[in-house]
Amino acid sequence: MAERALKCPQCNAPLTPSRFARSVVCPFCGSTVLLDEQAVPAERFRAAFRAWSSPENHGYTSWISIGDSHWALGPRIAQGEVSDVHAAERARWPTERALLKILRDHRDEAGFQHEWQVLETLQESDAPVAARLAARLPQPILYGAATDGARPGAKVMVLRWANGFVHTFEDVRRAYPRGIEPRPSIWIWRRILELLAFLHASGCVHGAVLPPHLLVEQGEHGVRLVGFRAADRTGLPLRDVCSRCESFYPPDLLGSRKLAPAADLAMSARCMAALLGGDPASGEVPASVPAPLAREIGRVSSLHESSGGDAWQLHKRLGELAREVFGPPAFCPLKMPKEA
Amino acid sequence: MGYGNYSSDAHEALLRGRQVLPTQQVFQQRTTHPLMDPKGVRLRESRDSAEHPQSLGIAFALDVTGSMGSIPELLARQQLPHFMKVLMDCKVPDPQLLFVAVGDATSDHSPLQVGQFESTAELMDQWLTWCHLEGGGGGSGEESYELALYFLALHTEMDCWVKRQKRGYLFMTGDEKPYPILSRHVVEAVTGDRLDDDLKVGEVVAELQKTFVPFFVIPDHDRRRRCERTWRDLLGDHVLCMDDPADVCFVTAGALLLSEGLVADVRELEATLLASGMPKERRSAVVRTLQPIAKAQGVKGGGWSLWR
Repeated sequence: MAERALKCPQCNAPLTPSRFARSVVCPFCGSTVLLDEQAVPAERFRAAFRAWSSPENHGYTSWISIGDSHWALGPRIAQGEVSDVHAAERARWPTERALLKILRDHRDEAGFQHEWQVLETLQESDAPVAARLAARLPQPILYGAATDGARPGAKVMVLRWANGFVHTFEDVRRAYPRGIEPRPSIWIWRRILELLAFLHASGCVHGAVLPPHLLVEQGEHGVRLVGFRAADRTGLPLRDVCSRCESFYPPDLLGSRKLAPAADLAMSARCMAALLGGDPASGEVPASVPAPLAREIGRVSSLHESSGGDAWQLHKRLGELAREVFGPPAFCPLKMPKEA
Repeated sequence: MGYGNYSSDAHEALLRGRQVLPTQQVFQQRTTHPLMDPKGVRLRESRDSAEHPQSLGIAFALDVTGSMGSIPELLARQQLPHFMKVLMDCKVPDPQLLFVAVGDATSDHSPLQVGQFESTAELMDQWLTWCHLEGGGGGSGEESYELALYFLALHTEMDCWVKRQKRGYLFMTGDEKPYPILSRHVVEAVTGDRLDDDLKVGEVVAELQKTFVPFFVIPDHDRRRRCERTWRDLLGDHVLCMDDPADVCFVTAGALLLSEGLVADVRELEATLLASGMPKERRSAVVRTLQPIAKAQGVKGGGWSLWR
């Protein structure tokens, strides 16, 4: 019977591998000697994963951890009613830019968790054009408790970063106290209606279409709707009212506190009235706004909850109205004073 | 491999007349080409040479399952010269392209096919058209992307990395998730490697990103929802979702230019791509796809910079 004599290539010591062994550790110099040329140790990949998952190896000095993912916290960019919103990035390469919403007080956790569930449900919606419209809503990445970092134990919601959405409608109102030009208000309202149409087709009502929850895109025709804490299935009771924006709620909704698509449309019209320098409570706008647009804003801002409220229909009507009043569509992004 | 020089005229000439040919005549393989079989392959090499002193390895891993066959076709019929032209115009020195075809190891006859790193139009085209477009894939919502990642991590060697510590590029196209676990039995059956344990997909990516800058390219928004989140958990902002599969060459070339820092801002990127043949009507869609990368690279115009 032929014997296989094995020597350590490092120190020439005799090796005694067990039968079928793929590798053997030299008892003298400690080298691992591969006996099977095709053998690949899984440990090589595990070690790579450990190194890849350590934020220190990517040059980060502070981060917060949620489960086994680590996020480097950037500046606070907004302060919601119950949470602080920070820019963040995954402490790894390639990184992922994100928004971190950190709950300030654990007593508000129920609403915070509800918002997360609504956002998750909306991403799974099979409503028409969901592939494109779901991407315009806050996209959930991760929910959990921070295990270390600056706010240990705080509940954190990680949402996908969206480029260019810097100014809320409140910022725009502050920048233009007498109202914006009427022309861009058409695409702004239509973008809101597209999002509302998607929400309503998914069986959901936002319930808080308010200036702090609407963001307008820099240099483009984009609008984002955030703040889904009050959102719920159509017909369910309104969970929360933002007291500083009470004039944006239609009286129907404050009275019955029942979520209806028409309430979202009315709130969107009140936001448009405010953006144009008018009064959100009455839906009245300055005389500089073309009459057909002013009439439409007035009509929709007092929409009764029983009127159904079809966002796509209103979207179409606005398109026709804009063509009559302003002519063919044109690219007219909203310019904030600093950029002008 | 990697000898010879690239000529866009030669490349265009090769593709002339292909527009009207049926797919079966452009891609004639009905099984894995023997030279693309990964079994027993030690290394695919991208090496420096007198002609190419600054070689840069670029791997295209193309999903060739049923739903994704259109991208290899687009590349072979018209698009690949555009990619090369952008790289040439921007003076990317000595790019060497490797084509890998990805299928599903649980149901396909050709779950992984691997060409060689090449510098000339003829040889790039040869490996691309030797791919067997099996058109398989299962109904599980997963394909064996992790197997291709494993092969690239372990069985490639690029002088850009070995000599200059500069990672190569990987552009993987696909519309499904990877399998969460890479079975050692699959690895042995396809590559001949004997792993001592199964691997998690994250472990494979961790090994791969040591030598490659990886990108995953999703062909359109409808297919984004199937797989984007899973891929973003692995590759973060290096997941690019296109508006249309026809943008693939401009999106990948643009991502490479941004990562290499060869364009100063998004406007310059746009102008470069237009000069290299990007149709005007695709301009905004391509820029929109690349904006997150521009932002991540801190390129001016990539969006609102928060802390860079």
